[in-house]
Amino acid sequence: MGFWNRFFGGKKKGEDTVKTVPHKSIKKNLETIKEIMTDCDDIVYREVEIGTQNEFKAALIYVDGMADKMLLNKFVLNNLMVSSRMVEPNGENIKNQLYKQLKDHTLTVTELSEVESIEEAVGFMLSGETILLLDNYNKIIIVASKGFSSRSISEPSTETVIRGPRDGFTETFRVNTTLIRRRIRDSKLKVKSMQIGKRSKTDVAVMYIDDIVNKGILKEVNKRLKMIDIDTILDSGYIEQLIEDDWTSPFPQIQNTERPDVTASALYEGRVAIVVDNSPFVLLVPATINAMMQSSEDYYERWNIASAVRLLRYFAATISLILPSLYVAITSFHPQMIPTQLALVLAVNRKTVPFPAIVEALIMETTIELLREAGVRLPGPIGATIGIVGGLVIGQAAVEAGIVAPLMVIIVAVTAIASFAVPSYNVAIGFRLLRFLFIFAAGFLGLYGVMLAILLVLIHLCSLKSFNVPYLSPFVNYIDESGDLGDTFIRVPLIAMNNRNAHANDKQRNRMDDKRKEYFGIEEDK
Amino acid sequence: MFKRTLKKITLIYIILITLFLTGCWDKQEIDDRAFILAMGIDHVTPGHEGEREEMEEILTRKNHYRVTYVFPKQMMGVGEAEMTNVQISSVGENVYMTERQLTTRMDSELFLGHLKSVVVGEEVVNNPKMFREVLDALEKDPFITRKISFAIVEGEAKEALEVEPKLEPMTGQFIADLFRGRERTQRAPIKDLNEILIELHSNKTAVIPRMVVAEEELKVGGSAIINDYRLVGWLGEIETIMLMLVRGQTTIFNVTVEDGDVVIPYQITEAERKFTLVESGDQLKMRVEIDLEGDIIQHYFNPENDMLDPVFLQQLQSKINQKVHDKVAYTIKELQEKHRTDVVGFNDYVRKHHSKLWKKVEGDWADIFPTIEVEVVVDAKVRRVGLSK
Repeated sequence: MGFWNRFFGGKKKGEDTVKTVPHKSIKKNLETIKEIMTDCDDIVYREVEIGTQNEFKAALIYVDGMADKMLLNKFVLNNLMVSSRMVEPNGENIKNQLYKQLKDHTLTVTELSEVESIEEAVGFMLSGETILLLDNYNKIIIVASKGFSSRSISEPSTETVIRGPRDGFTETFRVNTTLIRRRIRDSKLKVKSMQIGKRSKTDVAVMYIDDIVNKGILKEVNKRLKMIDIDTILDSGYIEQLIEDDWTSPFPQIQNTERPDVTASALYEGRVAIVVDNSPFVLLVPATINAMMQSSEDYYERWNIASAVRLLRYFAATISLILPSLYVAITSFHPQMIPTQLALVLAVNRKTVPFPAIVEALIMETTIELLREAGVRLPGPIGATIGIVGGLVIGQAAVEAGIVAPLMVIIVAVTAIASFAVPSYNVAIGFRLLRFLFIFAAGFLGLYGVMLAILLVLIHLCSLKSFNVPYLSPFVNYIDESGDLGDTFIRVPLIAMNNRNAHANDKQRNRMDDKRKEYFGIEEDK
Repeated sequence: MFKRTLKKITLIYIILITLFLTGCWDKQEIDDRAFILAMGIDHVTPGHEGEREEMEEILTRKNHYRVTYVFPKQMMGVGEAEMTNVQISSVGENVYMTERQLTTRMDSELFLGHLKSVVVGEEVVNNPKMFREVLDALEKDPFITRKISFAIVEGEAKEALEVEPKLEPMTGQFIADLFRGRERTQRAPIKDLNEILIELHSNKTAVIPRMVVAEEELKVGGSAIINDYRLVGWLGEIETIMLMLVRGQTTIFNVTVEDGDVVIPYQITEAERKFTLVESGDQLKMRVEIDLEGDIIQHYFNPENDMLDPVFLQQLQSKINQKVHDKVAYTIKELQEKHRTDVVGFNDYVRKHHSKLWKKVEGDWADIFPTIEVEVVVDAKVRRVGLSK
């Protein structure tokens, strides 16, 4: 274990945060806050005096750029300093009721809250709210004034569809939850917020539909989120890796999406969504491999076409996993498996290739991975050029130089295209990684090795679980009436999708009653 | 958690190591293999005229097999590589030994996974022991598919393989294609190695396609009759068609009938045959009923007798009946008297439909078969007469 710790770092317990109760005197509080925020030049302190005789001191503190200045000017400062003077204070002990006065009669902002510790108040301030300090009052008022610039809603680039909504999540937490809420006008849709990250204090919301969700899964999600003890969450990917079941697996056990419609559909199926601030990717749990092979468009397009596309997708996934290894196995071990003509042509083509098939496959696969990785880094227009240069020129040149056989180029190209037909990028890269394992297995043991590798992957998939839901469960849940199987290799017509997934709450399994008979008056048998 | 994973990784590592160290390393790149497309097996005797080296081997080690392997060899060229056909033969004590000896003379490994056809010289089939050895060599090898074509050459197999077919330079492929074309002509039995092996396993008799060698051409036509693993005789092309008809294995063939001085071709498109055992006393009598359906392919321009005339059609049909009847009866007689071999399928029929009788006659079927009285009934129908006027 010492070895492990030296390499990857051991775990040490962090200290607990302290809580400072605000002082009665505004001066003391201001000093405390200023001390906490030393050298933070983006903090604005605005001290004011209010009341007819300017007898009360107050202070506004906010982070420049994160708070909505217009709102503070018009509805906080204006009201405190100008409008309040127009009214004669009623009652002698106004001094003691100042807070109530402000809250109920003066400040015309939608959201006000009180906190009882300075650290908490600073936390709010750092997320864009404004601190309002009052003299002679030992609580701190928080004015909701978040107003920072953010990216507008645009079409997600990773999950494009031809038919379907074009909006996608942004980096702003609240915008994302709103996009989901817009699709679910149900009082049962719950949004439980929490902050994760000891330093980053990232907003994380767990969203679910209360009566559909499986309570066991929800409990597990909350438990795992609570257990996270990390300094910062920069993207939902952090959360995904910290709460997933098996971190050694090449397969993702949590689905991520940029599309609000996918999220809403998952919520309606009784799944749980985890929305993370600063990330346009929302996590969906539990996830099965089947969920990763679905595209939202499958449900918007008619079922027969969607089913055909589904089958094609599974075929593509298989191809992207085993095609290069089949080439290696067949050319090196089992040439009797291909038609004679092809075998002869292959033998002729390979005559000039100085490497064994496994090296040939590795060279080409590595090249294509290189192109793909470089393509991501390169700016748009250059990326396309590199694609053409890589795909056509290098492929052609490699064949002419006699380094690889022409069939290998075709196989690598088909494999690359097939791997992009898988809707989930994270599953596709898992397959891509395993492809190399398959190539090695084929190179050493032939088809026997390929079969061993397939078995290994299958065994692993069978043992994999996502939040206690087996990873392959939709393929075996045909015993009960959930009808999960009808949404796997094929997508049955919408009228036949009566039930929710097997992992939803048992009492809320039914999705719809088929009333077409009553409405359309289908003829009865005579 | 880390500890458990480490253990897992170690376990997988150990399993992989054992696999890689002990796994079968039969890896051979595709371009290092010689794809044998055709194989010819001959019997050679010490008195055989051959190359000097071969002779010495024959004399010293009593090798009496000569196997000829035909495979395409890729010749490296700039840009496109070319294929040339290579024949190479070797002698040995059996088929396997010839293969072993050949590997010492070749740069690439012999690979039988793409074998298309095997031709066997007449001499091999004349020697039952040798023929059985050859069949076993073909049956046992896991790489040789049972779908390959198998033929017996009138003469020597090597000669047949040395012919460079004009149409297709690759001899093995050419032979395989020849066999595929049989369905159109039906002049040789449509049989692959699998069917021949099954037939030999159950009856020790078989009909095997015959290959005839000409100067620059190969031809598959007629058949060899095997009885007790021995070649007992040849059957001509027409007789072979009739035999296939009686065996119920052919549906498309042609017969010509004469109407006055005009020869009219009749193409059979549908054929059905039925055996019936008429008498089952001491003298067995079989009735062979053959129902044919077909087209008149050709007549002459503006004929006096119109094809649509029912009387004329009746005449034609009875002529066809007569002709087919004569040929079938002749073929069966030939098999009964000359070859004394039941490849017609009477034995199968009696075994399947008259099992009690079969038990009595099973032992001396070879003697009983030539004495069976055979009645042939042919019923041909003209279904289509083609366009006219």
